Amino acid sequence: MSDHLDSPGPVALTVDDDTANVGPPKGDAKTDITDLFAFLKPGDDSELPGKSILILNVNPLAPALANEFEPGAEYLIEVDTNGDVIPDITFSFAFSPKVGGSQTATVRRIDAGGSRSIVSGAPVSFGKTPQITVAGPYKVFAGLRSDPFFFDLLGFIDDFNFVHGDLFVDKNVFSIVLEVPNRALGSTPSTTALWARTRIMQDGSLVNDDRVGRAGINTVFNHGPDKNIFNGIDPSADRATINSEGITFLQSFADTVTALSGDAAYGAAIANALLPDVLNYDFSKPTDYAKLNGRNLQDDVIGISLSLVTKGALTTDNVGPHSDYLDRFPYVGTPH
Amino acid sequence: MGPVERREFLKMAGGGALAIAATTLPLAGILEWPGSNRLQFRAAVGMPSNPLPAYASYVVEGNLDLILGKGTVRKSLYFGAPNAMSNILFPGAERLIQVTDIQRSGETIKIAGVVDDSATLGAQESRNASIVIDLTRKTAQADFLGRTMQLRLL
Repeated sequence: MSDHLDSPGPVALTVDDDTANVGPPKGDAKTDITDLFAFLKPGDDSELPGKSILILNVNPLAPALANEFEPGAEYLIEVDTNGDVIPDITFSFAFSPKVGGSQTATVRRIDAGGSRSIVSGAPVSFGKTPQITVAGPYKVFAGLRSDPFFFDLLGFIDDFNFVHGDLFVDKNVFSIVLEVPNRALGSTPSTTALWARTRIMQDGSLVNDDRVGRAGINTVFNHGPDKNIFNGIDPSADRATINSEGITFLQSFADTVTALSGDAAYGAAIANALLPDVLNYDFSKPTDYAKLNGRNLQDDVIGISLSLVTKGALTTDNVGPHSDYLDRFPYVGTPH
Repeated sequence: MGPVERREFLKMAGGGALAIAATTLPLAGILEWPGSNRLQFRAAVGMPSNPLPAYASYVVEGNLDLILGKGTVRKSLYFGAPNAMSNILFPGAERLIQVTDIQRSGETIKIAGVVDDSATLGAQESRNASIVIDLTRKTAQADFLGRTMQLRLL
């Protein structure tokens, strides 16, 4: 129910002399966002906590589908500081080509004042020991890690028959982890929201590929071609954009929640709460996904989401947080 | 196969059909050689069911010898809905069935078999498998993790 493989890469099929690409037109595992996390740095006990941890995970089932970041792609964490769902600050991650088994990352912070390099040449980790780069108040990690997401995905596919266990307990992803001073997120925590975005090079231009705010929104609510339409638009367009069925995404979300909850007014209210798809993050308060404020690694986003969309009829998928989260940077566990 | 048919076939076949795509499997999803004992089929259904969008495709495909009553059936789960299926297999959901009996009655074919590797089975699954193909309705009925599912022949 998170966004693993919501946008699997195109597959070329050849019959006789014809070749066709089936599946979504853009993206592959390297830029397929699985999850976005944002939480206060653990152990930071000051009254107004000084630092946050932002985690952008990509590449589901790594390294089975891909064993590198996509060079030439942009991996972005967008920050809206004033509630207009337009990014005011962007943390941008770019990667060199993988040469001789090595790859490096460049991190930039972009705002209205311009673009500033945070770190360049940070090594990507492909092994069990995380290679961490420290640059002033920032820490950066990029590389293979244990997938922190937990969910009985087979149970979801099996029509909510949650008896199959946690599919992700032994899976890996590629993580981008940034320890950031809260002042770099702006000065208006109560109206701050985040989303993750990947952009890929296509015909010489960077185009939108995948995008994630809260967990599993695209996976749970959007059918067929609407998944890529939703991935391609920006959150500011979430409510009004017309999907492939000729209705707005807002209406489509409301219809789904209504069907699951049996309550049209509730369906409309939840759709309004879920769109635009951003992760609200008030870094002046404790992180708690259940209170729509950021997301910890151990937050049971599936239980919370199930309860929300079924109006409390379902509250759990019977699996819980992994035991391999670290209590120190980069927080995501050692790869399996 | 004309260009339009080919395009439709490619669209329907999806990434999971890489091996089959190179054959001449027709749009009906079932291939029976006239005068031959052999029969090939492929069927799929999107999961989970409505109102949730299909996130995966449950695919059942078989290669049978109708006279000997033997063959193999493979059940797989691929990421992506049937109309946008990827070639990425869902870990732990693949079952290979050795066919032990085939009964044909008109347009209905009943296939019995056993799962090759019982270690792959979940708690609610039986090692014995049965698949029913209805050529008139272009459907197949098969067990998915202990639950009977209706699939469409591709």
